Amino acid sequence: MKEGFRQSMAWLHTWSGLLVGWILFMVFAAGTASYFRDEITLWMKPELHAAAPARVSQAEAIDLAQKTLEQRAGSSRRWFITMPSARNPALEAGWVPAPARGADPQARPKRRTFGSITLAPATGKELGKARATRGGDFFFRLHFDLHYMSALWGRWIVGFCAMSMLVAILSGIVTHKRIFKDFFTFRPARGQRSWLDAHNLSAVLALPYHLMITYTGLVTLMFMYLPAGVQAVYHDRTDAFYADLNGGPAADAKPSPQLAPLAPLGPMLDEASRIWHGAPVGRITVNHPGRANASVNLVLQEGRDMTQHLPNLSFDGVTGKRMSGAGAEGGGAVQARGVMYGLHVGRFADPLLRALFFLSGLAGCAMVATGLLMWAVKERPKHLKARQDGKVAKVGLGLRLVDGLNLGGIAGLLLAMPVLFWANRLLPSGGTGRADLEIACFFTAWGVAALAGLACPARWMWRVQLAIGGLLFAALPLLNAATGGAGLAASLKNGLWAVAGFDLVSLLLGMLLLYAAYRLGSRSVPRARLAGSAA
Amino acid sequence: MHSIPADPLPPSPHKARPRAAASPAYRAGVAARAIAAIGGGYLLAALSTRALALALPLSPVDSVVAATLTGLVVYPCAIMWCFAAASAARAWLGLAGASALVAIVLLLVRTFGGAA
Repeated sequence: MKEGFRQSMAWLHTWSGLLVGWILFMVFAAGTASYFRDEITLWMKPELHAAAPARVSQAEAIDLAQKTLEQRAGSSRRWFITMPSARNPALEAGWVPAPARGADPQARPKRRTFGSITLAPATGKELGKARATRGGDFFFRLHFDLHYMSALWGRWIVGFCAMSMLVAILSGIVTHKRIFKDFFTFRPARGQRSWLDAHNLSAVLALPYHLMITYTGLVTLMFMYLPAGVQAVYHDRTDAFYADLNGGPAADAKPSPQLAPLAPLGPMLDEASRIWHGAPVGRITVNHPGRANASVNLVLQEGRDMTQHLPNLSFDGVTGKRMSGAGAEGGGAVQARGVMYGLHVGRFADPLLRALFFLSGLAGCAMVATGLLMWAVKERPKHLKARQDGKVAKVGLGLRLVDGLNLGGIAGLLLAMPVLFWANRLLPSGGTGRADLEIACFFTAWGVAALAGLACPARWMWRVQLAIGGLLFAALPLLNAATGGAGLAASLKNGLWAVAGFDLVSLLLGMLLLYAAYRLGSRSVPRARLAGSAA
Repeated sequence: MHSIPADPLPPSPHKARPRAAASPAYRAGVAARAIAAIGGGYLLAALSTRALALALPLSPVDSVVAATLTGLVVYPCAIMWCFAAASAARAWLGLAGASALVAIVLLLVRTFGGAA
């Protein structure tokens, strides 16, 4: 800006990163957790852990679902079935209730309540109604909708931060002269230099991931952020655009007055699986079951294809014959967007690849956190010097604010996340508004930690918050076993990898945080190294 | 020390950087650039998306998607331009020039008919 191109880009990198850094850290942390959204949800519903060792064929499971739905929701207009998978062992059957006959459309409640039932596929028993919880969906929503505000506002705020992040990444790359060398450079315990190295290392190590995740994150909501193109071509017919984009479903036709029994779903699943080279079916939608115009739509199980545009097949619900491939096939750009969308949510990935995504997400958290801390570390000597020279009496407001926000935004969040899991298990499992109460616990813990951080941005406060967060995380496996979940011994024995993985990752994260708290107290850490230490 | 040149490391204690940061003119410049970047940059991105969506020789849905994907890249580039330009005035001029160019293309596409 004042000097050369590189300098101005370094300036832009600093400020576009700092100003939105605390929100970005939360978005990264919650987004990283969302890779294991299903596993988190399962962990938070210990009542479902019993469904664990489900090894039944798709044909058996679908028969069970069809029988159950015919009994319970024979007059419903639409059924939804989610097949058991490695990530969620339960079979889920849901339905849209039949509209009350002759009811005044104005008098109907705004939100239709869906019926649903969760079954253990092996026994066909209904699993005890799981406790009310948002589960992993909370982190998933938090990372682009925020909370306690309208989702629209949340999305604009997160979009603004994400664009800032994209600018920070691009300008960060431009200022970098020795991107390859930095990859292999880490000089520990050397104060400011170490923070710079750590920032470079976490940024460069997973750079393709950071760029990909930031850009594709914007892509997921791009028609909201940048509707100019849709408006130019489709004017105000946005639903026509979305029908073109997603392959327009004609599912909302009226039910036929003629009755006809629904064909068995099992053979349809077999045929679909054959067409998909043996890959299993994930979701099934039955429109107008029991009517002459019934139709069945099968969607490939997630985790088989990179794009979020999952292949699907439609069948006639009465004859059981496959209907000619409905749904528009988009061209190259639509496919490209589908792949980018899929890359962002990472649901295609097998466990190992998903673990790599998770690690890259953690590297993203580290990149944001070290960047934030570095600003304070760089600023501090200037303030100290000014104070020594007698120019000012106290540390500047800006630095103190950044120190406090760093503490509350980083350590505070890492403390609040396990609090959510503790609340999930310790709050009584009945009662109204239980799910919201869990979330209120999360935000209360975070708020208290943030206020404490702002009031006293000192090193001991970092140690305290990191240690509490670490203890809470590390003790989660014990809590799980003690409060009705499948403990580590049981989950490992039964091959319930989702629950065992949650416990193990929590234990690891907890020990990491405890180690960080311990390190902050040891003498080998130079005084100048830590944000807040000298203040 | 090459990675973040604006603040060379380790800092030499005797050679303080010129503290131009405090002057009101400097602050006004930063504000002008920020407005150009956030507001003007978005305008340029939206205009380019609109023009591309109409001009690309693809199916309607494909041109919209391709144009929007491109618009998401135009925006950060415009922001970086605003802070890389030698002065705030030049940042504004550059944005205005680029926007005018895109607007002309848009007008031509509208007049002579594009894919839509």
